[in-house]
Amino acid sequence: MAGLIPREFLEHPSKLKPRDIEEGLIKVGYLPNQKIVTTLFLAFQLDKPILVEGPAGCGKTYLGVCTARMFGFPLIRLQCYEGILPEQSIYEWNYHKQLLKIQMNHLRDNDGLEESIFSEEYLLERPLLTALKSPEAVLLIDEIDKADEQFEAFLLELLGERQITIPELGTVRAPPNQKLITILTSNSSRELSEPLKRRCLHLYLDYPPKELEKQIILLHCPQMYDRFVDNILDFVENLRKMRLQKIPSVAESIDFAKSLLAIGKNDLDAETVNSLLSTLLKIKSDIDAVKRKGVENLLRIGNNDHEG
Amino acid sequence: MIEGFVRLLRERNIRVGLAETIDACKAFSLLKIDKETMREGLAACLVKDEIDRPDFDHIFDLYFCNLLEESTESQRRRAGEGQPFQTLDGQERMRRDDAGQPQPRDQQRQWREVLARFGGVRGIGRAIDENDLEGAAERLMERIRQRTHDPDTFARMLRNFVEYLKLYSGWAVEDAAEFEEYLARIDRVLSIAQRKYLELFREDHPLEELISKLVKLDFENLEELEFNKYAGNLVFLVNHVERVEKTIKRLAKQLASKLSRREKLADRGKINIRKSIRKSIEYGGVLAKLEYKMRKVQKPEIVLLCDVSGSCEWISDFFITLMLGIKRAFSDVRGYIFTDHCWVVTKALDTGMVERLFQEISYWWDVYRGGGSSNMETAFEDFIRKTQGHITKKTTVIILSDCRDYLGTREVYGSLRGYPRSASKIAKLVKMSKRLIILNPEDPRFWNTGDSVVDYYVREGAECYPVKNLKELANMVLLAAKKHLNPYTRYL
Repeated sequence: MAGLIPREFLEHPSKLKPRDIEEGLIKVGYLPNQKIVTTLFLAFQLDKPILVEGPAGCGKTYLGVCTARMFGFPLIRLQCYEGILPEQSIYEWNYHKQLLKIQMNHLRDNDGLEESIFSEEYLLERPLLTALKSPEAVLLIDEIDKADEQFEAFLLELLGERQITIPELGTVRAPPNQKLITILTSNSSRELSEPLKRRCLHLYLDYPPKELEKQIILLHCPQMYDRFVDNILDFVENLRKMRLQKIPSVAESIDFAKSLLAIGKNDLDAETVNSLLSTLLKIKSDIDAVKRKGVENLLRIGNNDHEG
Repeated sequence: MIEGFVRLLRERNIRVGLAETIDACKAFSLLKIDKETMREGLAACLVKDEIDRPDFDHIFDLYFCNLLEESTESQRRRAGEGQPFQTLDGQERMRRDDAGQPQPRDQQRQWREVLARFGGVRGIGRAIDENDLEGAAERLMERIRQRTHDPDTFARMLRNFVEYLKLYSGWAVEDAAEFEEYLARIDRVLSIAQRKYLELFREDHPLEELISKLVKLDFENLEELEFNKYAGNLVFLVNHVERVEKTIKRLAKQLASKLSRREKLADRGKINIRKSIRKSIEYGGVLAKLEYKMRKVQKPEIVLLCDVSGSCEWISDFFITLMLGIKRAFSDVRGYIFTDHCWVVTKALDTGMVERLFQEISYWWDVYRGGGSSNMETAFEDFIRKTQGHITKKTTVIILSDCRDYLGTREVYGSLRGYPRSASKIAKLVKMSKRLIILNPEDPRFWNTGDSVVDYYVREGAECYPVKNLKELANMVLLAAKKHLNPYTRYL
């Protein structure tokens, strides 16, 4: 898969400049700020993982996807959840195959059986081991905060030393000159451990400034008028000022804009907004709160600001 | 160079390890492009918690002020064209709150007069009004220079002066947008004045030492801070609720991990058939090792009852910060305040804002004007009535009080005052709840003296701990984990 960063830069990282990363990300459809560009540049140069934190819907996962596209590396993704085990993420022995081998060996002699069934032939690679063995890849460990603390501890060896120890096989190390960009995302539903944080560069993605959000929406809906996008963002900003349980993020703003386009609207009116509120707000009590306050009022505040 | 910068960060309680320092050194050599790129690069290496970012930026600005040309990005940021919607900081919260809840007019007029006098006499307020920030900073420096030439005192005065200005402009400026602009201007004045300060003392003192004086907190260690010294400083409280919240979360996490290790061994859940069968494949289909389901951890249900009587006034700031900190750290928290009656403040707690809680308490004081003395018997009775159905065997009740039952009745034995009737209410609460914890701000030496009734409450099953700052709160958490070792309940 060809990327947008020239191979020459990958082979001689000192030639790569933050500007190249910025341009690359824009080309693959991700509008970065300086914070993102600098952190990604450092991650590449220092060979360190990035821990991306921030509210949901601000582009953390998408950053991983776009980074892979930009470099032209395969994306290896591990979705974390409560109770995820190392066997599901690092490696697992192929027990069926091992049992078959044992059964077969009952008919013959047993010499060297143990060595043979604990070899790579009987090993099932899971995403982390696959990434470790790849010469180049983007490893996206999504929602690490959902996994247990024990799982975090398993990751330390991979993140710090780029190796995984398999008791029966020994230590598996990354190939020399490996280009592996690791991105961990977290919604901060729990605090991550200090050792994990220490091994990573930290990037906090907050809600983008209005101007950047406008550009993002225009990137996804290029046929929209400037003024229309301004109206949408004013309305979304008014929603964000309310004390809602889940305030709309960028992803929701994009969905809202796309929905408006899909139904052929080019202006905001209370009736349309009421019918599309569920694209912006995901909790019923939030929708009720907005309806109580009156969509008309929220739209009026935005319009008055514009007229002013 | 980075070493000195890291030392300053550590002084400001930002935890930076050796590995991060090495990364920062490497980043420093790679990022000599412009100041903003370097800021973001060093932040990525050194700041692991977004709450520390404002402190990092402040120190960065001072430390690298002469190092590199400011990029246009940075100038734009300074000019206030920042992000229109960010995580709310304390001041913005206050601003938004002000927008929705205007302060009483007479109070605003009073503060506006203070600010006008301030500006009129000294010329600083007027200069800020006229957006002559360089002039305001120069006047500010001049004013302090007239009083002192000691860099330490100078830095402290500079800091206090700006805090003072911010605090009073918060009350004086009515319009929310105007207030935001005013605060931004004051910050810029401070920034200019701090640079002037560095220029002034640079020849005779090392840069690092001077910056250390500028960024030093007024207390050595936040966790040892006694809040009563800062009573009434709203800006201070707003800015520190987040830190208190963080400390409480850290303590809760430490406690949880301490308990979970023991509990996991002794208190396993039901057998997980699916996982056990899957695991049995390793042993050729034999159920050699059973897998257990994780026990579902119950979310803590907490009911807070805070004493706002006259005897607790000295510690009220800490109590309020603590209530908000607990509310932010745990989701299911109900709040009540009391003197001789009890008042629900859960809604104010839910907003997470210091000002709302202050407003609620002020309202309470207005309603019960003159009733500022404790009567725990009536207060607890009212509390039990108002919390009916909310306190169950899963609920932890935390009472923040000095346990001085000034007006509460007691059973009388001849000339001796005996068992306080409020203790029977405590006994009832202990029975109803999972645990009843009293956080008493007084030194244990003064417990059970005068109208203090700690002993009676402890005999009825309450746990009482001395807590008047975060350090003592940390000790309390450790003691609470080993309830039987609590010296304040064991000695009875």
